[in-house]
Amino acid sequence: MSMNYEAKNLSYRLGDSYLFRRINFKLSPGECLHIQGHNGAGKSTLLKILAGLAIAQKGTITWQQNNIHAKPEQYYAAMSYLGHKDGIKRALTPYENIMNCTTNENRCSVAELHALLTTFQLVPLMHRFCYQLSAGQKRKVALASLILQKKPLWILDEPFTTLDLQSSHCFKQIMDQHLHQGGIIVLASHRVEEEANYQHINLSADVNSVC
Amino acid sequence: MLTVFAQCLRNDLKTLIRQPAQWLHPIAFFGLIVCLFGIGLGSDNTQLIQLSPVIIWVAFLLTAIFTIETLFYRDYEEGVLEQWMVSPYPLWWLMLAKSLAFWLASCLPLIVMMPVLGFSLQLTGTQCLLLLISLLLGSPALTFLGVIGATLTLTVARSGVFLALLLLPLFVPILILGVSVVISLLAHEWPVFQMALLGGISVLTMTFAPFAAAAALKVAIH
Repeated sequence: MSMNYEAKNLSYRLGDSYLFRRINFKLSPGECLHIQGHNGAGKSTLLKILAGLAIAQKGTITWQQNNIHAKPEQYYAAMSYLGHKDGIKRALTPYENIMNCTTNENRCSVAELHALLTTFQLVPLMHRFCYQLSAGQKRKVALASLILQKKPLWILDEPFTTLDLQSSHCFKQIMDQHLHQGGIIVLASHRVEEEANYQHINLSADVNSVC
Repeated sequence: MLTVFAQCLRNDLKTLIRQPAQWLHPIAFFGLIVCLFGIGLGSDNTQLIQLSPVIIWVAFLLTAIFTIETLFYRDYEEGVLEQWMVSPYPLWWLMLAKSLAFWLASCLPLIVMMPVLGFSLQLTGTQCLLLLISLLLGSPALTFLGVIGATLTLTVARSGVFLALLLLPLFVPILILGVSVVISLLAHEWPVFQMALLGGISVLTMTFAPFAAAAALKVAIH
């Protein structure tokens, strides 16, 4: 299956001025879009728009040639979004949280789950409640459920915040592997080095433009 | 689809079981309000019998409003709502699950406890039973209207009073019908009409509220 993910002419206006204008990109399997920009440049907003959580005043986003708002089920079946909030329930255990996210679509094998949790050093915390975990540990639970959902498109908003160095490194490797297997990643982060298969959008360049 | 529904329901109930304060406090609140009326009005039998269905219904409405305020807030804070919105399942379906969870966790315990309070307010067995049935028939309507209100005020900080302003007027017909069930029984009439209407309102709200709540949620999060 050849996937493609495309945005044409995205503009988002906040009050009188544009937060960003005419964002275009086209991503094929194995490619990563790295969104850069200073604080307040609109990275998170752009990602929310790409995830369909916010709506841009102008422009279209297409997944497999279909507008994401026209065929949301098809898009959401292929897309995982992780924003600033982890999206895990604090009253449940990491195990329950991960199972909630994964049982529906692609049931992951126990071996896979165990391997991933070992990498993220979550095994001893499996059956504690999430409200007892640290911010970084909760983040890792959220990342683990995202990975185990095995959807081809990942939209990640600062995935490395609160992660320790070792876990950041592990997750970077997992991202590379995902791209290698033909996945697509849209990423906003201050902590990623440049690589060959990365496309860039810098939102800082266009910041003070008034309409 | 059904798995998601069951999962959503199970998660909410698990959360409640692990944090008993969430469902114990409303029950205590409900009991206290009713007791306050009982104490304030004294033991004048005739007056109390006339008023007791009103007292119980109003206490029920107030408790429902206080508990529904936090129904979505936790999920919003945790980012679970965002994850629902980017899930391939329809949002109204999840709203329906959420409403059912709320009804089971917050309305049902109150309804079950109601006869105890009813007897303490000197209602007879039949009157208690009918009041119980009227609460059973009317509470789904409360829940579903409440869910719309809660989703609309989700991003408003300290929405408690605002939510009450929004919802209480909508609860008026339910209150009138619910109370008149017992009133007409006191006048030796069988309140079939009121009960049918209450049930009707509940079914009506059930059919449109999940969609309205889903739309309100989208607006709130956008």
